Amino acid sequence: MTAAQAKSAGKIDSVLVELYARSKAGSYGISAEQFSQILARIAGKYAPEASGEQLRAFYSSLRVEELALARGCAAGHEGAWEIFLTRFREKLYDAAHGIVRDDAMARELADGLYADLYGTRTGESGARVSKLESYTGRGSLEGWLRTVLAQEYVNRYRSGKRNVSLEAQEEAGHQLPSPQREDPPPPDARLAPAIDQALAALSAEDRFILASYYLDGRKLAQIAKMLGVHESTISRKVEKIAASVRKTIIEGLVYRGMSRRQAEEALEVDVRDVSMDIRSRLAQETQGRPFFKKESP
Amino acid sequence: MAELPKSVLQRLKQPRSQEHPDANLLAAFCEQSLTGREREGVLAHLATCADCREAVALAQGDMQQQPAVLMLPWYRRPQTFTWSAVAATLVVGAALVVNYRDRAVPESTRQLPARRVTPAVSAQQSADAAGAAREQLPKSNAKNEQLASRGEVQTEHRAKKTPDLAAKPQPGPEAKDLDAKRAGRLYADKIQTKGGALKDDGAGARRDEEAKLRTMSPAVAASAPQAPAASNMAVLAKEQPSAASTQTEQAQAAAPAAQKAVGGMVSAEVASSAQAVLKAQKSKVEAASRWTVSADGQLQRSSDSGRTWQTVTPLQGATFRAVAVIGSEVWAGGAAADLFHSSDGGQTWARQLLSGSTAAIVSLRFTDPQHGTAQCDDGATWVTTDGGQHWTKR
Repeated sequence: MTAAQAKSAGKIDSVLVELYARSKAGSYGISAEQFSQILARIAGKYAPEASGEQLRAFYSSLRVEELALARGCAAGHEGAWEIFLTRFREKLYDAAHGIVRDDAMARELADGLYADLYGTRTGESGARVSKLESYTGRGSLEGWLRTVLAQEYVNRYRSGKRNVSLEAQEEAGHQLPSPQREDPPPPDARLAPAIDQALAALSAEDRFILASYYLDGRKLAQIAKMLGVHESTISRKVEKIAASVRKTIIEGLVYRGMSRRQAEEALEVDVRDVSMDIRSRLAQETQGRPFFKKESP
Repeated sequence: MAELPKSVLQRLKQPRSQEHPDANLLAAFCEQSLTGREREGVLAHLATCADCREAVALAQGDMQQQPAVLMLPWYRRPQTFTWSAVAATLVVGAALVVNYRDRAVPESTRQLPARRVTPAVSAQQSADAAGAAREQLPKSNAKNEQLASRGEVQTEHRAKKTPDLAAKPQPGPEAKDLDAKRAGRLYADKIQTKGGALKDDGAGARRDEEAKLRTMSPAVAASAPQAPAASNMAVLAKEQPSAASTQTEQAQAAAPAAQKAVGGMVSAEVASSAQAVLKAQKSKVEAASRWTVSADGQLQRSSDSGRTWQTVTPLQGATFRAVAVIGSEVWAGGAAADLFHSSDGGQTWARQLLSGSTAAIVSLRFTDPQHGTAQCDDGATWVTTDGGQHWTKR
């Protein structure tokens, strides 16, 4: 090991010592070595190529107090569970209620997650498997719990919707997809690559905004909240992105041999067709892959 | 809102990424605590996965997003509000006293608010204040000597309203308000004399002296006797530890004069020498304190004109690329729109936000403590007109 490497390793060790002290992992029965291993695994997952300063920065960005609490709970530490229940029990039920809006379903959702968090299932070695093992401290524990709840709800809804009565779906306000019909062939073979080119030129955020607004039908305020910006920013962006996509498609079609008028007509036809077909398309097909697999006992 | 052709929507739905981000990444995304590259990756998936978009929307719900950094900007801290209320109460009460205070004690020992850098009085007004102070000399001198012996220096020096003063142009509302605040600070930040050298016992003097020196008008400086300027040097020394010894020696050497002059004795020779000393000290302090960003992204400060450097860490692990300094106001920006501000030369830091931006800040420029621009590596330019409390994308 070179001197620089040794120096870097020493700095990381000091960061680990500091984080261990800050996390109070010792009070949950987690030794310093175990804690270091936990952090190393997390770093290996999210920042496998980080070293030195980057690794220190990554470690410092983790929510180590909550990480230690979660891992203490996963290990079955009574004290950790007391703290966890005190801090998060009500929040979990509130979050479930915010997702489902039905008391019974919310309680069922929250109780189901609690069972997973406690670890009612055992692994191959016979040890209890707690979902809290998968919490890595990248975000807050509360945020992680809400996200897990939301994923569980989406999984359940997606897998269970075939078994829900039509009346129940209508009462819940769900749009029933119209019978699928054959996609009409594009008016011109040049349109698809031009569209692909225009969409590929967009940033991930712009595509997300378009999908959220046009496919999911989300409100500007909802999208703004998801991105952490003001609603007016999203409003401007939607207009700007839609105009940019249109312009890029037309330029692509012109490049591919259409006249500008032909290109605009091709898009105009598509726009008129939108209102007739858009709702049926809003039931976006999914891959059918759940967010996570539940291990069978 | 503009419609999109259905063929575009159809292509938009094409899924690309098969693997869902785990709940940790999605939660961190909701809390705006992912790195730039990670955020791009999550957004790329979300753009093509309705389930994950739904999960994110449900998870956010009414959740109050937890900040990635627990440190709030100074104006959002509850302590700021509490202390602001206390200070405001003191200011109102002290405002009545301010107008009747003796101006004899020189300007140099007054304390200015860190952010408001405004000349206190005009040249004419300061001369009038000095004259009025001379008239009040016996009483105020005795009073100040009494205070000095107790270890307190009266920093409230506005002269009583005399007929002469009343006939002269009065300080503007802003200057009066400033003086009232100075009076308020008197009770919040005590300055103790010890062996002739003034030792700053409160954050206010340390934080404010630099700004005060910068804005002091020549006339005001001229009305200040040498001793308080010397004591001022000792106060400034606290902010720059490595230079403290030299400055403290100067303060101590001037101590006897400080004791005598605190009552407000002003002579032309003393005033001019005080002015020269103040100017020299100001340039010395400003020259002594330097800031830079190292090649590996560390924020560094030098208190000895660049001979030695100390790393300053507003946030553990943050990587910086730009720094801007105006007196004791320091702004440092870096990766992932990290932006920090200190109003006390780097002693304490508060985070500032470029709302919605995750680009790295590559350039910071401030023309004064209120007006600045920040350049990001995505080409965006952000401007502020309030010292960085709010940033607007240009």
